[in-house]
Amino acid sequence: MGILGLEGVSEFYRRGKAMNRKMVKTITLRTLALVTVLCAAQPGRAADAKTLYPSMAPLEQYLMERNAEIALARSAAPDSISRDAKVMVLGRQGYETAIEGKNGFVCLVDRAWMGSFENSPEFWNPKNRGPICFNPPAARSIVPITLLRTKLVLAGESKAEIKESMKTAIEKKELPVLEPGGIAYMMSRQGRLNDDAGHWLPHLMFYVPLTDAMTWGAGVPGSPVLLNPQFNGAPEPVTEFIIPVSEWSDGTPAPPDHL
Amino acid sequence: MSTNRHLIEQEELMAYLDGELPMDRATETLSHLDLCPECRALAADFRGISQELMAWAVEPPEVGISSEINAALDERLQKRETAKVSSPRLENRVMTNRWVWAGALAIVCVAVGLKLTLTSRNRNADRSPAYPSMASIEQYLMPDRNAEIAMARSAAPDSISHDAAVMVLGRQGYETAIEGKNGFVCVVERSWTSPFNSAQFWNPKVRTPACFNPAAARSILPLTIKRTEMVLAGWSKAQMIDSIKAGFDDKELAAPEPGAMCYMMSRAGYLNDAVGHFVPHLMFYFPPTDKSSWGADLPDSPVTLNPQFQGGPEPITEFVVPVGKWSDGTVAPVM
Repeated sequence: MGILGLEGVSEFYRRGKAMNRKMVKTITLRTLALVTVLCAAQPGRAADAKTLYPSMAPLEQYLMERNAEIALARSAAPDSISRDAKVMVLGRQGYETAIEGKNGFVCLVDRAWMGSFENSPEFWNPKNRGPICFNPPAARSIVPITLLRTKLVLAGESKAEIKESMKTAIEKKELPVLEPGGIAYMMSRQGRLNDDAGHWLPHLMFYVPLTDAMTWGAGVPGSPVLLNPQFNGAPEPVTEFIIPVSEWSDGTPAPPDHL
Repeated sequence: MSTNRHLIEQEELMAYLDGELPMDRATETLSHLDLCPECRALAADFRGISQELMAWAVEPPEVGISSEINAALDERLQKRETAKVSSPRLENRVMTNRWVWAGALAIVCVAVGLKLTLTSRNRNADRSPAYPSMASIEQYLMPDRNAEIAMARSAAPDSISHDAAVMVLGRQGYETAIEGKNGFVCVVERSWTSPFNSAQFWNPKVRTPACFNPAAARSILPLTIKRTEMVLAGWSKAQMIDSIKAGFDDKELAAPEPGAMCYMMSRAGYLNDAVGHFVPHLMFYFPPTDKSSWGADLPDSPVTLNPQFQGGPEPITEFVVPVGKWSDGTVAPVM
């Protein structure tokens, strides 16, 4: 999942049972309300994150040793999938192909700037590492978003400028239309999605054209489906659902109480 | 692995894999596994053994051969009792006679051979399905309408199914029992939504609660309704297949809408004789798609391909993703 989106989702998930179903009527409102609640409830933390990561750190802090990055990227999915996947690693000019693939999947390690533009105090957190393996439809339609955002970051644009550039690219149809059936594996226990969640839970992500979260029953009490606010039309016209799964990519079980 | 070099005992590792360790100890074990390749390999071995054991099924004995063996054993026991009465020391003498042991072994071999032969013969008989044709309609109906409504709703958490439309099976087909508000539709499917070549196709015990999201309610549920109408009209499987093909050709039936999915998280359901209520899961529907594009059915992948429509007349691919809890919030077993 997007690195910043997780902050909201994980907190939401923890609080899900206690939420009053009548409190919000739509998931859009729910998500906005959640963010508001989180910021209000924990002003120190949000302020800390903003203080800690106000702008991009030196590029070196986002880079990794190449082989370690390849291994981390592959850890996003079971070996049966990732061993034949294409692997991309972050270089000084952007993501580059480290290993050619055979099965259409693409594995890489997301950085913090793949979080939401709107509610992401960790947008520049240099410690975040989000291993992710995209299936072929997602590799064709979501990876280009990652590549473009990264290109803009490395060109020195600010968060606001990147958001505006993405919006322009979408309007000019410079990004591919979302293909049906796009999913991604995020089952690495070695990842670090943000300061709060750490490696969080193994999960799958599902990409659909912009839609109301309730069409999947996402985010309501007891539902295993969560809405990731990573894109959500701001500006990328993609709705992203998350479903936690029971095991990490190495086959070890995830904490069952949190599923 | 020893306690001198590792923080966890083998027994604890097995308990960890079975989800039986307390959370704090499980967390320590997780951390140790992360750092210890030797322990990871051992854990993988244990998992492999568990999976093999879970997959191992003991074939039930044939009824006929059991009665034959039982009769033979009874006869031998009676003879033994008689012999004991007439000659108490005979048993000891017999047990020490290696020729008698050899004879007994030969008898066992003959019995095993006989059993294998009969088993082989009976397997052919077993291939005749347990549910060769439709049972009486009463066996598929749920007499208590409210019970069927409750079962249908149990497919999804109450936060979803509470506002869903609910359909129940009547003698003429599915009918709306409760109007919905959120676009979801919950039903209890019957066995005929199985693949047409399934041995369970006419199993009257099957009750499959499902809550379709709005996209699936518009594009997948009509298939359930159509199959049901044809079943209740007494059509043959061949007729149903032809009609479904024609339905897609004529655009009467449509491809799955983007984002079509379904909740099946009921622990009250009965999916078939083999799996019972199975595990809680979600299902995702697509036009025909190679399962490799989702990494389905690969080792350690949480995604599996559901054969429900695979190879059938409906041009649909259906993926299944298990989830951790039943709709009532209780923790489910790991698949």
